[in-house]
Amino acid sequence: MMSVSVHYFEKPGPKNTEATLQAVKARAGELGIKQIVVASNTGRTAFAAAQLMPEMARIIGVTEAAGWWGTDTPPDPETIAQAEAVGVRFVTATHGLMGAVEWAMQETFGGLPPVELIARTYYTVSSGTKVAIECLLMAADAGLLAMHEDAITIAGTGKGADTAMVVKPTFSNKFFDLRIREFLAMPRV
Amino acid sequence: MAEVSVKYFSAAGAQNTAATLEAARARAQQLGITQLVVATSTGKTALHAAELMPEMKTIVGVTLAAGHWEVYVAPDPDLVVEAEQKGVKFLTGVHALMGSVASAIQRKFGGLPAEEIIARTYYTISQGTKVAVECMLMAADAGLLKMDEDIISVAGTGTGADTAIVVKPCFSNKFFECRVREFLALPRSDSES
Repeated sequence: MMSVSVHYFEKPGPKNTEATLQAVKARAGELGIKQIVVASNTGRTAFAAAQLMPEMARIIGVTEAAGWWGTDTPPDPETIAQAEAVGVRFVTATHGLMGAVEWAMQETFGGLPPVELIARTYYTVSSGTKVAIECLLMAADAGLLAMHEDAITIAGTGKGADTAMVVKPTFSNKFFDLRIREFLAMPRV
Repeated sequence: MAEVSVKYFSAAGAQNTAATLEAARARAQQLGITQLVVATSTGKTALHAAELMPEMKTIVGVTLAAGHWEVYVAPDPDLVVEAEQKGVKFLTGVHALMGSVASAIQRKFGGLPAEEIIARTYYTISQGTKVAVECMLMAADAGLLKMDEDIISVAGTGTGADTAIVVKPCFSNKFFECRVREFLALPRSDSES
């Protein structure tokens, strides 16, 4: 049994980014984890992670799919370039859980398709939990993770980071093999 | 921000029961939580919880539905009586997520009904997470919880307890309003030692 000091934030949002990344660095050091996945719309959070954790073998920054850039925030080319210069690899691809073809089905025909239901179940924990799992699946499917090693995946609510988890990674077509081992940071509301 | 000491167990299973209940008790005191839901097939884990946490105003012990007693285990009448004497209210009813009509549909016709998808999503965290949320829904639907106060829900893998969560409770027909606020104990692996 391990007793781990976990950060539970009173409110979600980007003000928790630094504490979340610090929790990741500390626990990665304890567990010997060398790969992290970071949800990062503009590239900023991935860049912050890379600056804080140069010891990581793999840092994957996952942006939103291009179909969402008009609604949300597209990657910022300068920030992306800065992050890439310190070793971040970026993925921009079809979302792993929410906001892809099933989203279109729901928007057009109603109902709640299965993968959207998985996403909304994770929402009962936190928005960042859903996004962190989604980004992990996307990084795995892009061939950017060592699949036999645990990863830490990080996401937030809107922007920045407020959720971090230690995860046994899986490909999206083996989704039910996924295992969340530890929560390191999470908002309480 | 609260920094909470969370128990992560290397293996799932009943050997984690005492540590899980201790974690629940410690955090309940910090947060002022006075209602607890415990998954308990025989009544043993609920009795253990009641002995450890006499300060709780509400302890609900949720057993397996009767259709599962032959396959798994039925409530032990002696343990149930003993726990009831210490204030535990027992609940035996339709499972809210897995093991009821949707499971019968799946078994007979295949597919993966909606409640089963929810359940299997929680399984990616731990079996106990699924059961803890399920028992919270059942206790809420039975009218045994104060719905405007957070609760702690405790469950395990097969027997005993290895998972504890702080939850904002909700009724099953408002499932998507449920909110798991904190994990207090969790196994890092599905495999039992």
